[in-house]
Amino acid sequence: MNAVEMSGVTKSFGAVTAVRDLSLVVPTGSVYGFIGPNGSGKTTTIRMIMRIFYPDSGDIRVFGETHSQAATDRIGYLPEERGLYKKMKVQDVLTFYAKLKGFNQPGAEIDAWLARLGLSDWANKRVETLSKGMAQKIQFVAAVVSRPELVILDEPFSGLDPVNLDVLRDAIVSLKRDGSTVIFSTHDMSAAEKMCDQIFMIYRGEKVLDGTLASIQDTYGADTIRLRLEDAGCLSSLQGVDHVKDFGAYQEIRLGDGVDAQRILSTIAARTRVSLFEVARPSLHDIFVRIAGTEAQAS
Amino acid sequence: MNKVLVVFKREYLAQVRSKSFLITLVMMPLLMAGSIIVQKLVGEGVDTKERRIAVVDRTGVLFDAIKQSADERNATAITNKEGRHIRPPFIVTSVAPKVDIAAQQLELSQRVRNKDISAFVDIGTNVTRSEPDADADFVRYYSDSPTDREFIRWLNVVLSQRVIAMRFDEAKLPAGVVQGAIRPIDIANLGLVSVDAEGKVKEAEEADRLTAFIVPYGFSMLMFMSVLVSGPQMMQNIVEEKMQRIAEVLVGSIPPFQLMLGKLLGVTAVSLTLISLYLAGGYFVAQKMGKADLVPMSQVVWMLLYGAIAMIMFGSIFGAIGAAVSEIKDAQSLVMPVTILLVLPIFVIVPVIQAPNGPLAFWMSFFPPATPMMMVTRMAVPPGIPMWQPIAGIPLMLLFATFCVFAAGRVFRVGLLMQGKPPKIGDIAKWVLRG
Repeated sequence: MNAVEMSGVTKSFGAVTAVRDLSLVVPTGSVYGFIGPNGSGKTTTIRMIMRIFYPDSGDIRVFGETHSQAATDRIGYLPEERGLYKKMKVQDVLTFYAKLKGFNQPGAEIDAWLARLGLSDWANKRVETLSKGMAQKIQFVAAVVSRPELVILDEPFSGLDPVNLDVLRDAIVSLKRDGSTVIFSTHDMSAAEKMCDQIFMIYRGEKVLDGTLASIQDTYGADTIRLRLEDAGCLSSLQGVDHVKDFGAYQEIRLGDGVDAQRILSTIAARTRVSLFEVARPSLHDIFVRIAGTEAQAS
Repeated sequence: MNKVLVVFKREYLAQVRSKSFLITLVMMPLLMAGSIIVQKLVGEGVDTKERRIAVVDRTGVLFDAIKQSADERNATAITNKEGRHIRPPFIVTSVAPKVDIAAQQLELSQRVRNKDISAFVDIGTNVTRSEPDADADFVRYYSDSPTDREFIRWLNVVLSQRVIAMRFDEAKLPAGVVQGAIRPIDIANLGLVSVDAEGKVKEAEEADRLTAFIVPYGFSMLMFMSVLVSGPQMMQNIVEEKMQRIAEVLVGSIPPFQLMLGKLLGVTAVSLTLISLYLAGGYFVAQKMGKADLVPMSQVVWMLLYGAIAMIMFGSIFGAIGAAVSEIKDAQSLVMPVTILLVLPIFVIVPVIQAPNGPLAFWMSFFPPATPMMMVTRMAVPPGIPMWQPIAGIPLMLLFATFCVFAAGRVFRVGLLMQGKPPKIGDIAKWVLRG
């Protein structure tokens, strides 16, 4: 069974179409990464899955049901804009959220999560005394403490230092190990590459990528070549090369359609000394920038 | 529905444990005690320096009487038990009348301006005569402090007594007989006569009837006040939840209707707790004073019941406003019409009390926003109203309150993620209809 199935979903706000004709399948037990530039429709998509927004047209099923309410005890949700009752104690806030999800004896679960995230000492402190990073981890615990089957995290890593980022990554991986389905949106491409079974990219309200990392990389092919040349200037006039990027220590070129890497190598070798020539798969970062970058630069 | 309880419990505990609740709890009795103390202090702070009054007595026979009364008053009535001055002494001096009235008044006015005297009185020649004479019947008090009425009030009593007696004498009427003949009548406003257990005829006492009205009337005012407090409280809680970004998590966990209901019950329970504590305190005091019998218990129950529903009803409307805006200051224009709805019963309360079974009173008490105040007030006015009316009012209000909570829930869900300029009433109505 699939955790989430969306088909032909469209949502507009006034004259702006936030999401257009979107179809998506999130299999149970997978970790699904949502990527895309700011304002491209990630959060709108997530809010529609949560049923906080209703789609204008199309069909959304969560665990096979077209539930009508946002309040589903089976989904844990960490919104992008997060907040906790400042005056409440950490323990009480978490108990409150667990009970709202119908999980009535959350004591042991809360203790376990606080211990795992290194926050046990803070259980009886008020939320207002927490640092921003700590509050964010508490918010994460609030989303998962009721042992939901589907966990939706909107930008879970934003604002975290590298240590806490690792802690949270491990926590998400452990959710998957325990059988939960995880959907998260992120701007951290390396996290998405490392953690996600499947990646979905939305750009200007439309789906532009959807699949495993390998399949996405296959689509974008082995068209990226990493080079170290004595004279990088000779790349500029090269035929069959779409894109040149000089990082200083090395250069990267992207080949045009149907251009043979071998032929390029011999052309370059005829012009200058080559100390590195590597046919590389494009990273998710590169693919992201390739789709969204030109537009972003233009604007 | 279990989730309603979870929200209710959190809301209630969060508020009851907060400092502001404790402050409110202590504040009311403190304010009352404070106002009594302030009044006492103000009473002792009266200006007690002597008033020097010049009297132009054109009758020639009144000054001595005035002087005598003033001396008596200065000797006996201006100090309290401890011998401290609590009233100003009056020092009256006679000024010989001159023929040119205008010139003399100007001269005396100048003396007041120079602080030589505090004020002066000019008494016309005809004042003591029984035959009226419009030109000479005047008694005029001239001063530069028109709001200081202490002397004028005193002089009025003293002069009237004296002058009336003199007029009787002049007309050769025996004062005692005339006073007996013109004594006023006083109509007593009594209830119906009943027979007590021993078979004796018993008249309803006036005082009982009055308290039987004043006490419940006070309750309905208390109810009005608590709605006025709990409604905006609800609005503020919701705006805070929006500003602190808690709302989206909540909507992901609990249907908006249940969330609203839970919060409303929480806020209402806090107010009821407060009212109950005050009432218990008031009852305790009444019992100490031996007046506990005057509190009509059945009406207290009605009042609490109607009060709770009123708080839910108005709480949900205020809650919807809170859900629709992103900052408290944006709420002001939307609060205005609700406040008018809320104070509507106050505007019509006088005609309603005068005719508690008239058409205005009847129809107003079946207009849901006004029902609680109207019903409670009308029940308090003897002879009361038919029992079916307050009973019928309850399902009506519950229906209306349910609609309000439902509408507030929808506004909450839609308004939750709204940014930018505050919505108009028309926009909110659309949200309610479309969901």
